[in-house]
Amino acid sequence: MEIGYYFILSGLMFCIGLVGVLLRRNAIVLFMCVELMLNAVNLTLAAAARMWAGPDGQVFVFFVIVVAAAEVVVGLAIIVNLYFRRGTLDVDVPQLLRW
Amino acid sequence: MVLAQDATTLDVPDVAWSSFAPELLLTAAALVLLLVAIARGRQLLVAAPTGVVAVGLGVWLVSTDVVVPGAVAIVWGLALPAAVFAFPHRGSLVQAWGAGVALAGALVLTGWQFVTVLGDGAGGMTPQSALAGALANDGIAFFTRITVYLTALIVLPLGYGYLRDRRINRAEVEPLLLLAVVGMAALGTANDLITLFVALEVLSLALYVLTGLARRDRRSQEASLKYFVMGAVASAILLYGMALMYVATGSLSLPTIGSVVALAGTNQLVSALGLALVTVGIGFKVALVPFHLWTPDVYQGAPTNITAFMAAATKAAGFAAVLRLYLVAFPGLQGLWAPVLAVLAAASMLYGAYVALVQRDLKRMLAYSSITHAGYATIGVVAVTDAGLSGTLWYLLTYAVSTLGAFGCVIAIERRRRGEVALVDLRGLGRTSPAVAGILALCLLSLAGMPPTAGFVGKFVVFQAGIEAGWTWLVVIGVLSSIVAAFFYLRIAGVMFLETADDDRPLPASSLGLTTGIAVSATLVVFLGVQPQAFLHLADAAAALVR
Repeated sequence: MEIGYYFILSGLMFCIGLVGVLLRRNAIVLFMCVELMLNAVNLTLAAAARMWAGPDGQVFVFFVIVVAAAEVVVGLAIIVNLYFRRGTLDVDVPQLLRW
Repeated sequence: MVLAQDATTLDVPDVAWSSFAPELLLTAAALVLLLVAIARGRQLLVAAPTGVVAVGLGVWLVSTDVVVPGAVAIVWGLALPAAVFAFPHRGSLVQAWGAGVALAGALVLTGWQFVTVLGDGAGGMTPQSALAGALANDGIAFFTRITVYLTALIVLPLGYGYLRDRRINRAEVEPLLLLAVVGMAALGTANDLITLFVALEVLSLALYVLTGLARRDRRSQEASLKYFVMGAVASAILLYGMALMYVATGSLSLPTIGSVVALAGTNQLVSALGLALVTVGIGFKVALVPFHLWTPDVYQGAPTNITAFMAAATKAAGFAAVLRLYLVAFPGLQGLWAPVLAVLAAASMLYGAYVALVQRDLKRMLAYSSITHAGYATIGVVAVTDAGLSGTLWYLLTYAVSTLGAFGCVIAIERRRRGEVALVDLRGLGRTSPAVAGILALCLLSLAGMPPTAGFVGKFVVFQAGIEAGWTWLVVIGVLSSIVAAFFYLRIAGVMFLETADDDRPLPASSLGLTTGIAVSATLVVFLGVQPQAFLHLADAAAALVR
């Protein structure tokens, strides 16, 4: 298959994630959209590594996976704590800080 | 990439340990401090063996003629058990001393790097790359290290009493602070996309947690969530931009990307798209308009000492990444990004200054002022000259010390009020506590860019670089926004000195650490303003880059 299709697919995935972040208000769903964006990046990097026939892009993918895992740990801790404080996951609900 | 030649031998990569010695020390210190915190009542069981190992390592280093790092290791190895022994029941004091000595050691190691590795003997700098080009030990790295380590060293005593008063002096504060510092310093050294991304995430993840430190304070929690969501999206966008740069050039190393992008025949559309996404992502991190939305909320909600750290150090580290990305990787696309960054800088300067005018909360006002200052620092970037580069590095240092002093005074006032600090809370402060009011006024004058403070020299240098590079309109906007900004800084001074105090206002708190921190930053504000030559010379030398 042409390598260009992979770039188109990853671009679409990235856009879906970005639109999700902008439209959805549930903290967990926001979080999943960010993960979708990161995985779109991984697909781009893997396809580009194939295109350039070098290991650099694939090495980068491993780092992105590790960082995404660390982000999940921190992010879920923040979300869980906030849920205990105010009993909802809606990021727009009660705001003490004005946007 | 080092690969085995055959199955039985493995080439050991040649690691230049000296090129990241300060970060090694800080990472080790962060891990040990975490272990000490976990050990609770049996702290000596962790501290004593660690001390022995550190002293042993130090003695071995000294015996192999690596005297300064060896001495630093010995001092730290002795200081940690000593602190545990001296304050057996005050865990947070042990943490603060352990982190403080480590940060001072990191500053010493940075100086040692300059003398032995980077320096050419005549005060100039010989840039070097290390770890197969993944790290660049050059002017940006050196100056970022100084700014970040100095900031963290001042923030530690500033925040100690404050965290105790709010009962959030938990054991993870100092290790997370050290990890954030490591990430920032690594961001200054990063010379390929992987290192840059990992460093950025290390500092961001630590800061997300630190922002939400006050677990029972909903403002802190909201700030943390907001920072996390915005930051994660910004990272993802930045990362996609980096991936597109890799698609266009086939390399992850910034200098190689720079030389490939400059060639005709490279896929200009893909590199331009990557450049745009990188600009969005990095714009979030340094809070340029229109990517500044998180800044006021996060700065207001976070514990004040963390806000001070974020404002001063994150900005320095973020701009280190900006400088390296645009001047090393994208000089070939200068015609594309320079006008865009100039517009962003102009928007930041104007918007930040005007919105700060109507703020009532002091922390929020300082947040908008930080947006304005991001605009000023960008002038040096769009100049794309050595003068602009050293001007930006120097500007970030002056901004760091001024904003640290200002936030230190906010901490002093907030500690007695235990809540937000509004403008009315400052009424008559000049009569009731002239020292705090005087220093706050001094730091605000420096932020406004009045002589003879550090801020004046900082603005002067970047404006001069901007004019020389032909960005006259941008500098004019900068001057206009300085005038607007000066108005609201002077208004605070007016509230403090001209209005009379209400009788029931509590006096600002003071403690040894807070007084020390504020005094050091105020001294630096004056010193860098009156005697800037030594540091300006360093900043000029720092224009030498690994390209």
